[in-house]
Amino acid sequence: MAKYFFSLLISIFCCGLVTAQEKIYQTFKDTRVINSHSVETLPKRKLDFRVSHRFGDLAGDNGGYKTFFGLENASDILIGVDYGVTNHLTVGLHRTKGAGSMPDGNSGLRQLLNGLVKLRFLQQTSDNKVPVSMTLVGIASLSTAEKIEDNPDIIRSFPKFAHRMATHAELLLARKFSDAFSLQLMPGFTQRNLVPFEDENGIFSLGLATRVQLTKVMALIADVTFPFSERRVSANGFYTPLGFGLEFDTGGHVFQINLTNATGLMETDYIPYTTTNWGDGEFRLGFTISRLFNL
Amino acid sequence: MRLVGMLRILSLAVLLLIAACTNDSLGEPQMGDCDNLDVTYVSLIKPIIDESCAYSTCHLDTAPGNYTSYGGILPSLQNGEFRNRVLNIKDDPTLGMPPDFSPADRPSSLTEEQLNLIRCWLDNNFPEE
Repeated sequence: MAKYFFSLLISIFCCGLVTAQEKIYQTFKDTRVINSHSVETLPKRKLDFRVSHRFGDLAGDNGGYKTFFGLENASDILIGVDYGVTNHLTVGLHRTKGAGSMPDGNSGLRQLLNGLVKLRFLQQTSDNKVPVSMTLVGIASLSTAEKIEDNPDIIRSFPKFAHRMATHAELLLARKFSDAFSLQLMPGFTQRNLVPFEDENGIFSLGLATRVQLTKVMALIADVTFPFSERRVSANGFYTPLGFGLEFDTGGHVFQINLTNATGLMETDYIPYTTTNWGDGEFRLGFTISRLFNL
Repeated sequence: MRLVGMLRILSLAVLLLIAACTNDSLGEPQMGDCDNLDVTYVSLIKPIIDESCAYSTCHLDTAPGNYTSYGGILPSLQNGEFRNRVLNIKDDPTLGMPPDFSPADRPSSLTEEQLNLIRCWLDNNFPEE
């Protein structure tokens, strides 16, 4: 710990002397913000074991005391690993329950295996020659749910094997304006191979994420994703996935607790299928446990 | 060199994903025909509710409402919660009714035929007789 602190002191001291081409690190403290990915990738040969949890509605019809403010229910659960192949390339494999549904209750993909590829190809420098960091993210989700043959009205009828899949690709552009403020833009595209009646397969979206350092140990984080879709408006029962969280740097470990209206944890889930509304009390507590191993 | 190899594998994976991409949509939902059905609480719905909802440890003593009579169900019919739990979110393991944790001798899901009867009954403003 003392060694770490000492090297930190040296690096801070050095920054004052050598400013040119210094790379900017820790635009965000984790590889995820709340619902969204951040530009961060893992260091080479680090294995990140992650468990994420989204509880049930905190308030509204399905929340309150009778479900102990949603703690009785689990909207979505993720368990899996990320691995830093190089400092700029992270791959991951995660299992999620799947949570999203259409406003009429027709559910999206369930029992998912999610593959992740993250390539960081640009890193902000302190001399502003490179003003932003950029990362490409690719996600593929595959439902391992049992096929239901006799009901052609539901996604789980899976007429073709490809119908079990949904994919998402996005570009992350982030800038750390100061140690206290980072901002990230996320243009993305989500493709679902099979959609409910009169829905669209491809959805463009734009996300925004931020991190604001409040005190020495505590930061506020938030993210929001706007799907560009005429169908995905509140009049049709769809809502914008929006999350707020607090991040605590407990010294060598970052602990995060958040609130979001999105039920699903993966982009392929919450971008097309968020039908829960902050205004109706349909937001939930969430957290992630992340542990790094050296491999 | 290793990076080039990795990028090759990556681009191959991307190509495979694109090849596996379809743009399909489900057909119009098959709505059961209610015209030839005279569904009332007494005629067809009570037996379903007695079997699947109104038993001890559920909507008889512990869960909200005593579902052994029409009057006991009426509040959740009127506020829409009945439709929501039984039809809209029926696949939710805990909130969808009947839930997955129903006792072993009770159904944990309704049959398509029962669901259709209930849908018709609700669409027709849940008549008692």
